[in-house]
Amino acid sequence: MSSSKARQWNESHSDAHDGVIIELQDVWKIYKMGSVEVPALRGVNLKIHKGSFVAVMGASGSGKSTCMNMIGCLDVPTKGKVYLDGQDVSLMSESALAQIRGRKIGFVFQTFNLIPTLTALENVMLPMTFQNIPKHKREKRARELLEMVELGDRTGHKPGELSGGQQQRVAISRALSNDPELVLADEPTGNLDSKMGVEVMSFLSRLNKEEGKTVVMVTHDSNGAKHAEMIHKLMDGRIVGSEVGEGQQDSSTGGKAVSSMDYTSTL
Amino acid sequence: MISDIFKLAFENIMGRKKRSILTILGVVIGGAAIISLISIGMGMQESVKGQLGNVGANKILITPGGVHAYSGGGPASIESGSILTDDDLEKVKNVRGVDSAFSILYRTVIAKYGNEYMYINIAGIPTNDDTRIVVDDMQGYKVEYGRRLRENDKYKVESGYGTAFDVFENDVKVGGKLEINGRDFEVVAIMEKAGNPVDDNSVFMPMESAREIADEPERVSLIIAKVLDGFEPDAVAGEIEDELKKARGISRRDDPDFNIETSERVIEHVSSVLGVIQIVLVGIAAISLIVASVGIMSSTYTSVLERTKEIGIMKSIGAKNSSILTIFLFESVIISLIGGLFGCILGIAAAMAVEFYGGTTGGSMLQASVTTELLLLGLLVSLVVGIISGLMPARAASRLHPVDALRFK
Repeated sequence: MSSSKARQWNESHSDAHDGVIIELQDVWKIYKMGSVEVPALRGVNLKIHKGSFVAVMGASGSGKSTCMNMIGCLDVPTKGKVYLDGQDVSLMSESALAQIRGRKIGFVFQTFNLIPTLTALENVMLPMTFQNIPKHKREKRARELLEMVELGDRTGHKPGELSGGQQQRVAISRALSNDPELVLADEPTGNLDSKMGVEVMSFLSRLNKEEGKTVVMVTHDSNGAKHAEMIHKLMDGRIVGSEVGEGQQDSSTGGKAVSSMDYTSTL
Repeated sequence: MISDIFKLAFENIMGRKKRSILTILGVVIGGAAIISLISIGMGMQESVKGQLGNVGANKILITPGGVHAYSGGGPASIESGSILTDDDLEKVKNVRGVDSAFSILYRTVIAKYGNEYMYINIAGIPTNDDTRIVVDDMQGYKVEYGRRLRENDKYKVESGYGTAFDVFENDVKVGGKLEINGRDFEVVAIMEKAGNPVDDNSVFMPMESAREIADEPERVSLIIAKVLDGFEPDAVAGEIEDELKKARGISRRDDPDFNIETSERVIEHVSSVLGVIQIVLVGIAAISLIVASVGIMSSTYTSVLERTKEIGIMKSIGAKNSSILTIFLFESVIISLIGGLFGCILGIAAAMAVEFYGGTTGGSMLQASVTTELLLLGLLVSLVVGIISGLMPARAASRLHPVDALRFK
């Protein structure tokens, strides 16, 4: 690391509050459609603390997907800053960003996004492959993760041979393979029936409560969002309101909201 | 890491078997064309060098101006102003470094065998024993049936293999009569196949008889000198050239009115002509390989397009641009290497088939030369083709933006 870069890193790191995994500072994203400029995000400020369970909610067209791309460091803002663990992502090269993304962020997508030519085991191993982790370690970890989601007997199956719920559980295993601090779920229940949706939600909840992972869920579904500790509402590219979700009540008061035990029982 | 990427690429290829096989087929055809043509070309050079080589590298050929050695004489040598005579032969013999020398007179004549008239070549050669040994040694003449010409065999001939079996309806036999210019010649020998058309299609007779028939009391068509061991053929040829120029009153700096070549040079010339032919053939075959390479490129582009979403997924879970590039580069290299391997096998099989077919129809020049270097070259070329044709699509894949790629349906 060059000295100027190091300084920058230190500055940004000290700027960020301790315990913040991702921070969006006045983030703008403007798409150019021919000569027309379409702003998808208009100055979003967002801090996500380590170990929290946050939902970003909004209707389609609200800038929700763009916001997810920013949080997931898949894209860089037109204006403003995104800090991942205190590091300014716009200063990183594409490849460095890919490496960091692979290590610190686990993605769970609405459409599962498994590689169809690879088996469940190979899919879970893939993020570790890109981090150059030795094969025997990769395989051991992938098997453990698949057993954790109760797919230990399906390791050799390809995605096409698995149900939607099973595929999403493989995807969750994959998201966890590099033991990331942040799990980013994009409409994780959108393509599942309600029973499977509950399974997946309970699993994300467990990850947050038991493993201490930061979980960020992007959704348009208020039922799903309410399980989070904090819900940020997005409209027209701006955060228009934040409210405490049932997840918060649950963890702080042990109150009447759906408990993680209930989720576990459905697995 | 590399083996995992290899596996990813291999799974991609297996995921679209039919298309992969067709692409591979293109490489197989291109590779086979190149390998078989190079193999035959190399075999041809080896065969020609072998045939010329057995006449010895220590030979110097002198022909009249404008007429190439081995073109046989005939009208051209009469029209070209310059002549060679037995006086020249004597001067050649006296040059330092010349072991021995002799001359041949070629002429095309009409000959009658049985009731048939055909054009044949006659070659007047020395018949005294000492010189004849040199002639046979240098020209590779061997008697197959019958006996050699002797010094007093004035109206007798030895028939070349081709003249004996290919020219006349009835095969020429030892003891048969050939009528040339109204005079009967007795065939005393049939020669072994020499491998070059001039010797095979000639009849050999004593020099004095040839002079009589051709009405050439002095001229010769060709002087052949054998260089003494330890002398450089090129240097001796230079001395002969100087000597003959001096006798003809030509300045040392001017071009001579005769041709002088060492057998080495002749081999070089023939080889270079064959080389040009080979380059043309391989060039044509290379076009098919270029077409195959375009096929790989198009197939890889299609693969990139089909897998756009997967590229997005892989990038989002941590694949660097270089990893994506390597996956697709491997894909095209695997295809071209498989194609190259089968192309080599098919190409060698084709070359051997040509050699076999050529052998049964008398084309002894058609030989296949199969070497490890050729096989390695074939695989190396296919590797390079794979890299070149995969590079552009693989770069395109590696540069896809993760968000755009993920959104792709």
